[in-house]
Amino acid sequence: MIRSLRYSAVLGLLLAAACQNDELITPYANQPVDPLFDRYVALGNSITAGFQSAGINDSTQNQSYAVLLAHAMRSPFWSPLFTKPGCPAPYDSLFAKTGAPVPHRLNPQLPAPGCALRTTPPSPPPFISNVAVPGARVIDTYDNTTNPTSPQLNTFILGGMTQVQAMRRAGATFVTVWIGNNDVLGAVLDTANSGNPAEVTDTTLFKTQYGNLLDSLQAAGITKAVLIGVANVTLIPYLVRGSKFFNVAYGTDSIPGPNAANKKFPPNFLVNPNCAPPAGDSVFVPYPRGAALVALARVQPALTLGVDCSDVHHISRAEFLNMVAAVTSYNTYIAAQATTRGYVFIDPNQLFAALPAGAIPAFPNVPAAGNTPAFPAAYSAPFGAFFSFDGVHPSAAAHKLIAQTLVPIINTAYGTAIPPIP
Amino acid sequence: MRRFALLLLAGASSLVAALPAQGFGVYEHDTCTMGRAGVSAANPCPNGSAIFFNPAGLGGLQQTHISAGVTAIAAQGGFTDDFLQHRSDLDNPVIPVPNAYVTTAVSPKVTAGIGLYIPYGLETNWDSTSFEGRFLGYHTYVRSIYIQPSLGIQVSPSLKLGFGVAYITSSLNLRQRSDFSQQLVPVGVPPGTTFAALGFQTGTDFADANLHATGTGLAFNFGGIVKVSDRVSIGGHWLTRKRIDYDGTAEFRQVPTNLTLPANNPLGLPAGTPVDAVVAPSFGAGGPLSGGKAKTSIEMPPQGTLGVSWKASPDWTLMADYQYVVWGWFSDITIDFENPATPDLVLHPSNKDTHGFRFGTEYQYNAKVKLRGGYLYHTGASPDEFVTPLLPEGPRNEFTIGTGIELSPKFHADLAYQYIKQNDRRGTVNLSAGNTGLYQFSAHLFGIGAAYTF
Repeated sequence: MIRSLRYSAVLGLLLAAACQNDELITPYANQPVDPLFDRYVALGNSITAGFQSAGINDSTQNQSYAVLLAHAMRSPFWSPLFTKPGCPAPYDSLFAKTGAPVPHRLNPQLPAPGCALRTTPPSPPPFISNVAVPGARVIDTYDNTTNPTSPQLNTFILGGMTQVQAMRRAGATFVTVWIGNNDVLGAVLDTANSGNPAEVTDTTLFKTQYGNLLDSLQAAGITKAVLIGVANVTLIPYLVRGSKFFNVAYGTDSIPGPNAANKKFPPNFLVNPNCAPPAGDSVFVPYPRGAALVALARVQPALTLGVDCSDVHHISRAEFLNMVAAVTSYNTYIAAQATTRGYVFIDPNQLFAALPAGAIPAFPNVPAAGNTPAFPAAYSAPFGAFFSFDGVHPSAAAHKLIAQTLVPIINTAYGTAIPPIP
Repeated sequence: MRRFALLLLAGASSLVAALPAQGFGVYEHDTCTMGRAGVSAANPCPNGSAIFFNPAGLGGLQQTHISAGVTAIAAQGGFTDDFLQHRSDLDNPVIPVPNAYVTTAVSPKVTAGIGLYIPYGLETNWDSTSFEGRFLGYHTYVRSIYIQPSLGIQVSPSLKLGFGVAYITSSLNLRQRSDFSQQLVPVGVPPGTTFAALGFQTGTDFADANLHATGTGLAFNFGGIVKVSDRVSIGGHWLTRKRIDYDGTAEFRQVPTNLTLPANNPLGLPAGTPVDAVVAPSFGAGGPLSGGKAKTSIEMPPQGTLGVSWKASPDWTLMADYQYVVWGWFSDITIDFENPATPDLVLHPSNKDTHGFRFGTEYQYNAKVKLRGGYLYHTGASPDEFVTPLLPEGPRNEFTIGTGIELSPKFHADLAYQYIKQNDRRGTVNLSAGNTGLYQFSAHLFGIGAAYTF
């Protein structure tokens, strides 16, 4: 009897060995919370791509709201990651130790072509999910030959494809589209004439191009999508109202600083009275022409610097109104199209509203001369906690806030159950 | 584009490494033997199939036998990747594998014969446009036809010996795609940079390669059977190593990417330049993708079988074989491409020896009908790091049933069915990425054969 049992045991072991099957190794919980998110693809520009502090690399890319959202959806999602230091490397500081406004990148010593290029993992992703390209305007999402805004990044992120082509290749079942900011932001960043109306995409043309994009989505079978409208770019901390300069200069207001003396402009920084409110309320001074000059004036007392609100380098009232009108027109169109096509529209300006009070500093944090006394905020968060070191792009904290805001909106619109993002 | 040639060769290496492995092997060279799980070393079926299974079985085989058969192999399987759990199915046709034997008794103790069988005759097919492993190979075809004259001698009442010389004619075909993202950027970026680093997506087909080669060789097959008692026989045979010299051609067809280069690209080419135009010269005369002749030699390893047959009763016979194939001897291979732009390649396959354990039985149901059944298990030759779309091979359990029917005193028919269940095995679709998914494989085999004796 015992011998029979032993033989049976040995036979059982042999059979078990003969039928030994390998198994799948799932690297993560890759069952989406809803079939809608089987293939989530994010279209957009620098914000969606994860561009921060005037640069982009695998760290900043993984902080994108799209990545956070995909993670919450448990959707298989791949970003076109850039090797560190980046493409280009993000700023890690805006000021030298002396307090001088000298931006510094993570590692500026990049070989040609000035970009660390894409990571090439041994197990390459089957497709790209975050197809957003920094600098992209609406037209760039489906046409990369006419006059791409950032051809180098367009190449490095999508190869020879457009965002729409990459979306189709991924077999998208759900998309978010946040595009259009650069159709107006380009005017803000025009170094020769910030607010240049020629850099604002004509509203009729914008509607045609955005319509083309939506047609492409529908042609790809996308029935559910979130369209995030165009942000009021004059809200970014990169821009400071002319009246702020006036009020600080004339003692009715102050700027952030380590002590009373550094909450004022230095004596060699002058503000033209033409910045006085109310006219100065509608003039916007770009960071390099305003706050950066305050820092420079502190370290170079012999120089006389300042702000003149009639300077063409600033955004004039007319230019400001033109941009606001364009953004309003853009968003009106996008909202209407979302309704017509069964998509969800989100006004990104409500995202600004979701920020804590004071989250967007009225004036950047700039160091004291020689960093005496120290003002760490100028080095750690010159534009506050929710904007990165370029004053234009959201920080990691802002991306998280954006993703947290999107979750309940998507759940409500499509009856899904994406868990909250902690 | 020189790198493409290397990639092609990587695929070719896969083919060469896959060629001899068990998965492409066919052991169903006779319907009678198939029904009893291929067990035959000590007691071959009396229809001439001993030419392959053990030439000693010809010894004492009286009269003239003409037999022929075919095994239809219907395989199914697929690859499921870890990340997306997306399954790609094999798209294999039903593959017929024929066999034929003729033997005649030269004297009461000596029998001569000639056989035709195909020990390598399978193929694997995957979707050429969507399967992620198509850059290793989406169509692999191996067919080796053995034509073997043999002689069997009844040396004594208890000993038979046999010997045969097999002439082998073999053909191979590999088709694979090439991925533009894996090609080197010639200018404008640090050396060694691939187009993947410039953003071109993995899986961007730009070339279709077709490698076809044929070759011939000789092998020797000999064996013996000892009749230990009236009820017990022991037998074995050994098929020697065989070298096959292959000559063939490599052809390349450009696959349109329909991509264009954006402005300010590192190649310094104008915006809108088609990628297809950039790579087109590589397909022209003298280019690395212009194709040309290729040749290689494959030293196929030896294999042997040792078995025992026990006649448990007048109607019931139990048999078992152990089969050993020395795939571990499979060492260096050089692939020589005539095109000087295409570098030669030396390969070091690392297959493992395989072991097969076969158990079969035959029951004389009545005067005209025999029933057969069996089970076998054998290990896989492919090492864990080389389970590829070319040959997603692994250990197998197989079950067989069969019958033999005497339709007339001179005419005999056999039927058999075999089910192959290969253990699920982790494998790769991208050698540099390692094993990233699971291959599954099974097959139904149907055999039919007929023998005429006079």
